[in-house]
Amino acid sequence: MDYQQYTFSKVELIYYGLRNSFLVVAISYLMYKNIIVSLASLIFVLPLLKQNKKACIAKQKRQLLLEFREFLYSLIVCLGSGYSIENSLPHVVQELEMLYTGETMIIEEVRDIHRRICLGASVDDAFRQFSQRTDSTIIHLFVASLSIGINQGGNLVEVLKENSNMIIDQVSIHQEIDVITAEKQFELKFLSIFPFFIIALLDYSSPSFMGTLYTTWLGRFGMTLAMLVIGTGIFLGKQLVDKHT
Amino acid sequence: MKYKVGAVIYQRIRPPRRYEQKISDSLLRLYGTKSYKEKIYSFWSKKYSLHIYTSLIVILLTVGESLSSQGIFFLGGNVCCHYYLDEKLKEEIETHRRALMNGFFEFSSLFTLMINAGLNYKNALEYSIGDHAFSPYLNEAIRQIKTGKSEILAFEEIPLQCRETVITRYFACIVQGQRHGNRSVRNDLKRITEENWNEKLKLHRKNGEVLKTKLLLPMMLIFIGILGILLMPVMIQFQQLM
Repeated sequence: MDYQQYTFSKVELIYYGLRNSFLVVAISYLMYKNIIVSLASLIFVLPLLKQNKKACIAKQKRQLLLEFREFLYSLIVCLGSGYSIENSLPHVVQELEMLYTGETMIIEEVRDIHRRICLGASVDDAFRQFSQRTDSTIIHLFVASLSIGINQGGNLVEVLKENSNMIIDQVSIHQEIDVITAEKQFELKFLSIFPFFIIALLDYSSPSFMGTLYTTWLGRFGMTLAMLVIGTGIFLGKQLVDKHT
Repeated sequence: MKYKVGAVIYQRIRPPRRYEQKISDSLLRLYGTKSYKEKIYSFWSKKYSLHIYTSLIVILLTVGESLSSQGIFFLGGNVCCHYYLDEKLKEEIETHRRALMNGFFEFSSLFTLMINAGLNYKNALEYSIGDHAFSPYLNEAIRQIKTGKSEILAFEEIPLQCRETVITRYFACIVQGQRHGNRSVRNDLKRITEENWNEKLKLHRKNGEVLKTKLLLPMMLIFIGILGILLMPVMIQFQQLM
C-alpha cells in the first residue's frame, strides 16, 4: 500500500461527490437564486474532490502514525520479555488485533513484514520497504536505528527499546501539534460558513429586502463582487492556516 | 545591472551606522558567515535604487501639483519603500528560521538515534543529512571533514553559520564531548533532543497565537463582503427611488 496515494472507495466517492455537489449548488443558489447558474457551478465539484483526496491522505498518515505508536508499545513489551524481533512480530499482531477491531493499516503492514522475513528477507529490508512507502520521518527514524543496530552489532534490544521510547515521545508531540492545527482549521471552517449563514438568514427573514439582489443586474453584479471578496478572504485564511501549522 | 545606480550611491553615502549594523546582522542570520558580505552589498544597492526609482516616479506623477503635495507624496513613497524592503527581509528571516528549525529537529532526532545505536559522529552525521533547510550546513561540515579538517572544528562551524541558540546548544554538547570526553554524551544529546521537541511544540503554540491575529485580515475581508451584501439592496432601492 502506498501511503502517498489514496483511492476513494465507491461509497466514499458517492459520499464526497454528493456532499460537494450539494455544497456548491446550495452556495450558488443562495447567491444567485438561479437554477442554471447553480447547475453550472457543478464544475467546482472536481477541484473539491481533489482537496478531499489530499485531506484523506493526510488523515491516513496521521492514523498510521498513531497505530505505529501502538506497534512500538507492543514491540517494546515483547523485546523486554526476551523475544527477538522476528519472533515478536506475531505476538505484536495478536496484541494489535485485540486493540483494534478489524483490519488496520499497521496490522496489515506487520503481517506483511513478518511474511517477508519468513520468506527469507532480512529484518532490515522488510522494515525499510515499509518505511519507504510511508514517507514518514518518525517511521524512518525507527527503521534507521533498527538498521544501524543490526548492521553495527551491539545490544540491539536495549538500543531499540531506548529509541522506541524516544520515538513514542515524538509521536505524542506530533499529536499535540495536530491538536493545535485542528483548532485553527475549525476556526477557519466556522469563518467560511458564517457569511453564507448570514445570507441565508437574511433571505429567510426578509425576502423582499434581498429580492433586489436577485432580480436586478446591479444586484447580481454586487453579489458576484461580494462572493469574490468572501472567496478571497476564505482562500487567504486557508493559506495562512496551511503556512503556520 | 538593475541596481547599479544604488550601488554607486551606496559607495558614496553610507546609511546610519547602527541601522547598517542591524541589517548586516539580519543578513548574517539569513545567509551565514560565508556569503552574507555580498548580500549586504546587493541589499543596499537594491534599497538605494528603489528609493531613487520611487522618487523619480513620484516626481513624474505629481508634475504640476503644489510643492507641499509633491513633498507629501515624495515622503510617503520613500517611507513605504523603506519599510517594504525591511519587512520583506524580516519575513525572509522568519521563513528561513522556521525551515531551518524544522530541518534541525529532524536532524537532531536522527543523529541522536544514530549515536544511540552505536555509530561514531562522522558516520552518524553522514547518515542523518536528509533533505531539508539544515542539510546544506551538514553537507558543508562533511565536506570539510573529508578534506582533512578536524571533526571538532567542522562541528563548531555549524552553529556559527546558523546563529540559533538551540542549534548552538546541541553542537556545543557534541564539541565539548569530543574535546574533553564525556561519558554521558548520549544521555545529554537525548535530553537536548527532547528539549528540542518541546521547543518545536512551543513554536507551534506561538504560531497558533500569531495566526489568531493574522486571521483578522481574512475575517475583515469576509465582513466587507457581508457588509456589501447588506448595503447593496438599500443602495439599489435608493437608486430606483431617485
